[in-house]
Amino acid sequence: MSYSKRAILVRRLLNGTKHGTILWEVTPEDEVFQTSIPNYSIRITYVRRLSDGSGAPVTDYIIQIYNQDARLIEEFSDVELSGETDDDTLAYGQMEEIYNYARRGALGLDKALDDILEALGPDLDNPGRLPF
Amino acid sequence: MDTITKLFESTVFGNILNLIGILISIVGFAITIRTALKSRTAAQAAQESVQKVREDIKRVNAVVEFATALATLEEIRRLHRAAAWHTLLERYANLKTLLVSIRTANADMPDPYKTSIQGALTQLSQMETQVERFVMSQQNMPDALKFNMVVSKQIDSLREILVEIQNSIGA
Repeated sequence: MSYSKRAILVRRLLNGTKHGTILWEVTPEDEVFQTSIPNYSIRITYVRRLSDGSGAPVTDYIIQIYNQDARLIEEFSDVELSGETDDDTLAYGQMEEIYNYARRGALGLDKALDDILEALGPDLDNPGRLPF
Repeated sequence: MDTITKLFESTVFGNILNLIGILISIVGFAITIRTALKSRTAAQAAQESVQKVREDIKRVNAVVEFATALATLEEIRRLHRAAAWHTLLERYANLKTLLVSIRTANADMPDPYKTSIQGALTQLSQMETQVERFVMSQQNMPDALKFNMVVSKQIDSLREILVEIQNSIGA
């Protein structure tokens, strides 16, 4: 299996995001989320377009990298990335997953759900069920 | 008198005097080394104190700069609410310059601090771009509420850093 650096970056971003070592934050732009390291920032978002062939709507996930001057230095979509790995669908799946996890984390969805569930009290239909 | 003279002239007495002289030299040498070591330790301690003062001064400067950055962010929040887009462009630029200056002057700051500054710089740059586009085209007015949500997070993040640096002064 061959991977470019961008493909490795996406895989590492996914692992870090899933395990909570990479934290994402909201931005003023809708559906754009950002994470940073000491000298770079990474943003993820998506665009919708019509497929070239069927004309059906498709979603392209995009990753942008900004340098320490906050200048955009790299931008690529899952479509471009799919050409850099042996699996055509891997890039889309990974970037979609990063986006979804980033969105959940940035918007605090998991914490919100936990707080709501706690406020609702015990699950009366399943009293023996553990709360986690 | 003859006895004393004989004593002074005797070899044994000479050897005893030599031995006493050697002992005195050894003791004197030991005292000199001990004094020198004490002086070196004192000099090292003085050097360390000076270094500590330098670092504290650096931290005080950093606190002042972070406080200025926070004040500017608060002003940016007010300007967003007032939709003062032209004035905002200047504030964004000033704040970005200040954040870069903080980062450069404190190159040895912990990575989490650098990460917060990097995050703030990127957010500010993107807001600046949006505002610039609006000012030029008068289309797609920026959403002040969303902008301020981001600014508020940056304020929280930088304030945390300021408090940590403040607490480390003199510690």
